[in-house]
Amino acid sequence: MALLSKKEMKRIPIVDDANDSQFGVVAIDLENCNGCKMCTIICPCDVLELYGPRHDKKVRIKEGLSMCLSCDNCHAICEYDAISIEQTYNFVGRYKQLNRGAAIQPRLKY
Amino acid sequence: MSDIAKDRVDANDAEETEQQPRRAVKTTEIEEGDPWNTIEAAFLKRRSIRRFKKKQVPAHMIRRILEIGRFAPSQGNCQPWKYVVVRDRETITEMENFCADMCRKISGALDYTAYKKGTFARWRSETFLKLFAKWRPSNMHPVPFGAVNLIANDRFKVFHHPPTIIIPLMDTRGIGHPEIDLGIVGTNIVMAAHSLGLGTCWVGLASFLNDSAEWRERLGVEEPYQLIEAISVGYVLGKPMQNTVARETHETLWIEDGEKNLIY
Repeated sequence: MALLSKKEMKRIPIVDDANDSQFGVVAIDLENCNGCKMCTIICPCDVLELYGPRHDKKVRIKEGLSMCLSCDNCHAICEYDAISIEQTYNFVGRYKQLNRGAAIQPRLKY
Repeated sequence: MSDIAKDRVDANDAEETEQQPRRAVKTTEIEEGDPWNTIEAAFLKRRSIRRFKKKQVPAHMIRRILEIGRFAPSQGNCQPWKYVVVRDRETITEMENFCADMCRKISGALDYTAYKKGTFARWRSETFLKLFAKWRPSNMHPVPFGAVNLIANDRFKVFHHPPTIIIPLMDTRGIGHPEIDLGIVGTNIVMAAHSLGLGTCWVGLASFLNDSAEWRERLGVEEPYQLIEAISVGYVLGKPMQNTVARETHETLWIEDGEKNLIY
């Protein structure tokens, strides 16, 4: 038994269709975020942006098609622990993620 | 001297390698929950770096990194690689421009997100992409598709404009799967650079250079060698490696004592 049926293997997901493609989502702790802009610079997919008044800027995901690849680089650079990955990317059909658990930090106990 | 011996380039004519002191490696007892050791922590904290300082990395450091690559394991000790190191700003910019042009060509034909749903143009490029995906499924994954679009729109540079690019070329005559050996060499290079405080990033889109006769000549890529990946190396800008990141757990089939268990 294969994990994907032949029909699924033939299906190529459409990127801007919410039924086909689910991209990463980041959770932002607005209390900790001080708008230092580091995560918007480091983001390899250019999906983060600053918003808000001049002295109280916060970060958010850009509107429209966001192709976040859930690399968590924004969390790695954040000094204030204000941003982290909430949902990882997944697709239907040929590029469906198989046999994965939730995204977690490195574990020392199992 | 035999023909084979003559072909070897003697790099170590004058230098005599120092004898390393022999030391037995002790396997220390590790208990569950013990903190990560230095090497483990280095692996966990390594990130792909996409912002580099302009400062050039000293040549001796790059040589040192390549030296670690030389001792990578390979199938049947066949060592199916050689390196190209590019340290010219102009050449790097030209390489970036060439790859960006290729991305623009591909994106122009295949980017259906540029058109409104329901239009003919949208249907045409969607169909074209699906056909293309049948031919090269791994290249048409939605994630690289997004990266190609970013590069085509000039929001992103292919090599991230590093001071140095290391390109391990693959000898296609390697034993078994030479691609894997190339990956192991690359990992050695990346981890050696990380241990010296340098940032690295694998660049898969560099394989466009392999398809161009001009660039094959300029980079000395000749049969039986092939350019598959490139590694950008440079000083890290900012502090992008402060925290470890979250990653998905992967299914593991654990076979022990006649039992099979799935663990994550």
